[in-house]
Amino acid sequence: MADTINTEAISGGLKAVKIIRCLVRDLFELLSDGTNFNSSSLSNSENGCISSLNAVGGGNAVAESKEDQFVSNLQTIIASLNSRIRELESSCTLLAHSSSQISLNLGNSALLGQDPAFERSLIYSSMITSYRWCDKMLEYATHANTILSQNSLKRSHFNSLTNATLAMNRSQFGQPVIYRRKTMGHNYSAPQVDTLCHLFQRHFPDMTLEIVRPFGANAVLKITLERVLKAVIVLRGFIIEWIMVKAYHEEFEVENKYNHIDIWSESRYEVFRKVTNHANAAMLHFYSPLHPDLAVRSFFQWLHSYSSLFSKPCRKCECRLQDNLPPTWRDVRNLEAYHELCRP
Amino acid sequence: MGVVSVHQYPIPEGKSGQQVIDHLVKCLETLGATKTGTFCVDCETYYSGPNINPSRVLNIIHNSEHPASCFALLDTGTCLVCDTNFDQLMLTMSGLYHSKKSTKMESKGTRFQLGDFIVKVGSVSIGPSFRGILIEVEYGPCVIPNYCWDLMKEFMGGFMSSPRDPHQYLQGKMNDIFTPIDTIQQYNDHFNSIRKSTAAATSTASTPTHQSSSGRSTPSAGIAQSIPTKQ
Repeated sequence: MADTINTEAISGGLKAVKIIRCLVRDLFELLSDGTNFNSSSLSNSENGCISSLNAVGGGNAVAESKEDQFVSNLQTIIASLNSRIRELESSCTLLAHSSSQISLNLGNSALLGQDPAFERSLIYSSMITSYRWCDKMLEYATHANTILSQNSLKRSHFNSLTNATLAMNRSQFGQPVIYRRKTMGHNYSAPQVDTLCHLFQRHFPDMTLEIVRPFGANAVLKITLERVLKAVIVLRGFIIEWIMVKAYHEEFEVENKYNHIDIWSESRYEVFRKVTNHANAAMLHFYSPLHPDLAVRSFFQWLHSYSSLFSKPCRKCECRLQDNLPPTWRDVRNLEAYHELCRP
Repeated sequence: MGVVSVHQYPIPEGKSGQQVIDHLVKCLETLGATKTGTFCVDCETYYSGPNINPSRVLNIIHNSEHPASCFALLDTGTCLVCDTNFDQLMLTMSGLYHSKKSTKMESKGTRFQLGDFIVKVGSVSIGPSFRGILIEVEYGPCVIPNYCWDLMKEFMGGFMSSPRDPHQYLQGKMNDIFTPIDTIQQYNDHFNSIRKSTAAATSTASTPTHQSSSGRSTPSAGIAQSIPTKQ
């Protein structure tokens, strides 16, 4: 609604301006043509001063009739000019009215548009950029939400919903209900873990596994894969909790501290930092609380494919280097080597 | 310590060594390499005295990458890694081994880092005179040359004509864990071949005119010839 009023006022105003310009041109033409009696009148007419024109009249009879005609012409033109100027003014007030309506829609930010130093301060343009950024962020967040709700990476069954039912049960029966967790991969005994690890060791002869327990019952596996890499895997029962991959010649042990494993500090090489990231992603991929032994086994098989980290070219681009890195990603299904950006 | 491969960079005719180095540096910087300081590998040659039979040549090499160590290489291929104090020890053994200051060689230049690769562009000089360019490429994450040779070859192809095969010394150790001695051995071989080529050039240039200067060049030529036979 506001838009239609706006355009009408604008077109009306523009039309009025156009007519005013025509009329002014006519006026000047009249002033230059109609008073060619003497040089002084011409000069006066060129100045466009009406009062002086009136003073010029008063010659002979012929000149008088001509002068009357000239004055009447002049008067009609000036009258129409006046009416057009009023029209323009009215459309201007209409426009001012509609712009105030827009400012209501835009809020305070519209006031920025009225800043006299508009072009010098970049607030308005940066505000527009930030609005756009906000819109994009909202869009991405919605996409991420739909994707993440489909692939649940949650490693615990204890969520807000079960909490709510627990609270309800308490209120109904007046006594707390013991919440029994489902059997998951974390409640495995130490000997069970040991036997499974020995089984893996037999299955992958070029991968040495060493089990240490610096944190009590939970095992930490120190893995050396051929002469390519070393890895530390922290287990909780039989669930993989943490992986750190380093170069073959880097150490996990802290100097001067016996039986102390540094599971936090990253490798100094970019390749192994990338491999650590991919290994953590694979850990989530292979996570299966109902069949933890199978999950760990498939993870080990995947990790074992890194024995060709430096020698295998990328499946897609068939090159060895991309961004000065070898193919650091291994397909979780067929264990093919890919660069990070060549992933299918 | 990763795998290191040292290569001699040919200087095309009509270009000075500095021009070639500038071109290489420009290439590396375009690839995104960052300067991480300078490096220097120097080699001093000692000759055995009359009471050691058969006569031996001993090369003492220092590498700025291992600033506290000193590498002593005998022409039989034996390598001794020791503290830098060994230099003083050599002075006290001047009766057994004596050095010849004019034969001191060094490869000096800038060190670049490009991802996990370290590239060192060094200009080789004997005394004040320029003798050639040596390029050292190190790949840090890997310790077995055989695993990463193709990778390094591809990397070297990015800024120089990549070599078809690894250095002769490295070929015999492709499946062993790489050690700093392997780097030094490669440098030693390159220094010897550069010395040999300069000796050959000076002897051919000077034989018709100066008898005395050709006589001076023979010992170094003799040393250079004796080394390939040991390997």
